[in-house]
Amino acid sequence: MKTVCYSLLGTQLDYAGKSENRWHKWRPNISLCMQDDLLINELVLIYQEQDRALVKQVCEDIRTVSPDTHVTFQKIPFADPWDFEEVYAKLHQFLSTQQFSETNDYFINVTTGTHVVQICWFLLTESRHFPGRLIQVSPGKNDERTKGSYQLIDLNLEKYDQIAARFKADALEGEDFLKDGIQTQNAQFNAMIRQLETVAIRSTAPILLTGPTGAGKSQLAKRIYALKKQRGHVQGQFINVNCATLRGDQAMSALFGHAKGAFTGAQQSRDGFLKAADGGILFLDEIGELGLDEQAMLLHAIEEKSFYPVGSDTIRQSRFLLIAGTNKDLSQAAEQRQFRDDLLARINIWTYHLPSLSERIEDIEPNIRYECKKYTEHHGTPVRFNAEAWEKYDEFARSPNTPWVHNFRDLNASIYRMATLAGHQRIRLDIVQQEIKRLQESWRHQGHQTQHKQTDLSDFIEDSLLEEMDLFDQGQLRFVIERCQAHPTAASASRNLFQFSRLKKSSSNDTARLKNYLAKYNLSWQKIKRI
Amino acid sequence: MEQKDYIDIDGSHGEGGGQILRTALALSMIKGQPIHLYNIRGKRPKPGLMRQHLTSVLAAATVCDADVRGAELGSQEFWFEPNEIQNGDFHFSIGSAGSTSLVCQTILPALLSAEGPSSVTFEGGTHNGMSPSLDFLESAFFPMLAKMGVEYGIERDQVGFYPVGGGKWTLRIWPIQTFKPIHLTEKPIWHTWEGRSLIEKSLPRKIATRELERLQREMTPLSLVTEIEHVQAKGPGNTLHLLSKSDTHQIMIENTGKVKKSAEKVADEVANRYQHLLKSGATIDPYLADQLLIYLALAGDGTYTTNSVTLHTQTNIETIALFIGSRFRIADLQDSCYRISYMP
Repeated sequence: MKTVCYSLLGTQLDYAGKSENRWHKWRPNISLCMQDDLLINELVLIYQEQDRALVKQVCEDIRTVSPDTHVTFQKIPFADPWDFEEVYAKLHQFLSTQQFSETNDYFINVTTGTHVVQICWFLLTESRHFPGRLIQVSPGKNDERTKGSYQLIDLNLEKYDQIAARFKADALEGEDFLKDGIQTQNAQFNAMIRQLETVAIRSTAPILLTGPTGAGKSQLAKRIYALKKQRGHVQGQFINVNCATLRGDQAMSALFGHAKGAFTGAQQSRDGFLKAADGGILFLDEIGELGLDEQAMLLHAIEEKSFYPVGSDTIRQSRFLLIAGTNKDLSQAAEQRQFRDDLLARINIWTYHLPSLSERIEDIEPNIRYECKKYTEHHGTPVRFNAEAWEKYDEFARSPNTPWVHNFRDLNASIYRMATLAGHQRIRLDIVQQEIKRLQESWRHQGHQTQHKQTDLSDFIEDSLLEEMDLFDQGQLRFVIERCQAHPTAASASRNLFQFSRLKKSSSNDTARLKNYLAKYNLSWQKIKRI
Repeated sequence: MEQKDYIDIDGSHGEGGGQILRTALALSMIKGQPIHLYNIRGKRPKPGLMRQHLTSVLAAATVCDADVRGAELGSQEFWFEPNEIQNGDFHFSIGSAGSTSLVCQTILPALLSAEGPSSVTFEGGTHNGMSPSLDFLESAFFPMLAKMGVEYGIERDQVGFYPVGGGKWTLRIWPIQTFKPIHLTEKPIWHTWEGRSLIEKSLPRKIATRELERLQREMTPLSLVTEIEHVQAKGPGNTLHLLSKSDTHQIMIENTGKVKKSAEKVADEVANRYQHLLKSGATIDPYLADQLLIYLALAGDGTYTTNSVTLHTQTNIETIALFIGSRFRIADLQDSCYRISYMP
């Protein structure tokens, strides 16, 4: 990696005569090369024809203070260095001829040149025509005068937490913050978020998020991090790891790091995700996919706040908040000895279930609005439906026959596709119809029925029983079976079925209620799933 | 060469600065011991490797053909695996007026245990006020090594003051089989005192005269031989040196002139430090005592007294102990006099 800096030769600031006395004066380009903790490997000095002699002098003096700096020259003549149009065009043209390598670190020294030159540097950097940062040097005091100090300015505003937080619609508070401002209606979901807000702010214990794929676990984990960061509870990073992608030998070293030479191919040591999350949040999605050995190490790391990288006997410290995500039933996995029960006990302190999208029909509309807003923020194009298109899409989205298999992931992709097809115009009916077809096809490919097909009750109960059943009861049973088929677990099916009555009870066991109902017809959850 | 395990060294231990790095590198090279340094300069406001430390690491790597990983500007840990020490001609340039004497300190023990003689040219700072100056090396440090049997030669081309640097000098050094132990415990009988003010040409000569006049006044009744040395240098600078000779050895107290610090104050500080040493009856000043520790350990025997044991010294001893066990003893002899000895 090289550090490359572009800088204008300061006709006045860099000039100090030829005598040894010139070393008494602070000169920006010399000062730039005198810093203890900054080594410019290549300095590109931009100069004017009349400063030819000065370039030589400055180059020689840089060699004295920084023998490792290689100085190259670039003549860019400005007829009028205060003429914005000319300066911008020439600097833009110059930068476009440069080959920037991703492995290098780039700076522009804005200390020298006219204000117009500085403004042009700002604009070119902010618009990413220049892939680097700005650097400003200033004179020091007393003995440090000639050496001075420097300041780095990164114009990538996303990197400034305070500015970025201000941009995030100043008023988003707590709950709203966790929901990213989506006005959700689902009572159960809202109650959960309300509690989660308190927990996120007060507790440092692990949080377990359960729910089907695409229900927004990873999104929520990110929002918890953002909330804690905004409140100053975490300083470190948010590290998002999908455990399903960690397989075999790599899993251990990816999580815990390894020492050089720990195994064949380990030519470099590696820190691992746990270390990277130090002071921040580690989100382990699909934690149920983690191997038993990794689970044991993780448990130790959570309890002791320290661990050993693979092949190293140097203990590493890391303090992180663990958020785990899963779409599996971990208690069941623990019974089958696929998941350590002691680890489960450790992470199962605050458990939150994220319902699937089809269980939160009332939240579909606010989420569509949210997805549209997000698209607008990213692409700058407003997303709007015309009336009939909206009516059609809304009806489809809320229909109990729309499974939203991948939940928010499907919804997000769907809006994205329609918005892209509509371009700058409103989304029309034909686009919506096309989209509905596309979604249904994709779900059909994955084995999910979307069109309503009459469930044949004779597949489920004995004919003798069916013959004596009122049509009223048949209809109810058929509906219940269909719901059971659409949900991954009995718990989520029953939450969906008893969505209101369960809220009125102080303690509800919806699953038992569902199972009792099915038992009346000699049916069980397992049996339905088998058929 | 047999495969040795890395030893882990916490750079934030004790004084927590660059000395741990230099001592660890020096011993790693001569012992063929791979090291992993972490929390480098952990107690400094800007931790990690600064340019002059990086030069030390790279210079050490050049001299013993080491495999180095992680040594970059600002990095707070690196791995250093030494190989065979090579003698020969070396040239090391340090940017940002980094101290050449500290780079010298890092590689010197290795060059002394090489197969043949070496010549090393250093470019950078020679008088930077935060580390022993080239004058100190010439007048106190190397003469002491000579007592231990070391043969050397120094050619001085140009001095380099902080913050510009641009100094240049060459060290010729011959390897040594066994060091002769030194035992300096008797209260010395000082007989000669020399005051020397080094001043860069662009600065007023008056500064030097004032320093020397004041130094003489403060040192009275002792009589000084004084000298003003006008030097050509890239940047401005001034240092004041007091050389004191006894029957057995010589020492140097030095100080740096600064903007907004009077010449008199520069001289007073030198005189005070010398008076303190004199009163204690110790043989050498704390800075020299510190730099000689590693050679005491290499000789396997030796004793001297000094008038202060700093955290710097403690840390240095502890770093050495990581490589060759703890055989240093420090005895408090009262009246600010401490005996440092290395037990054979």
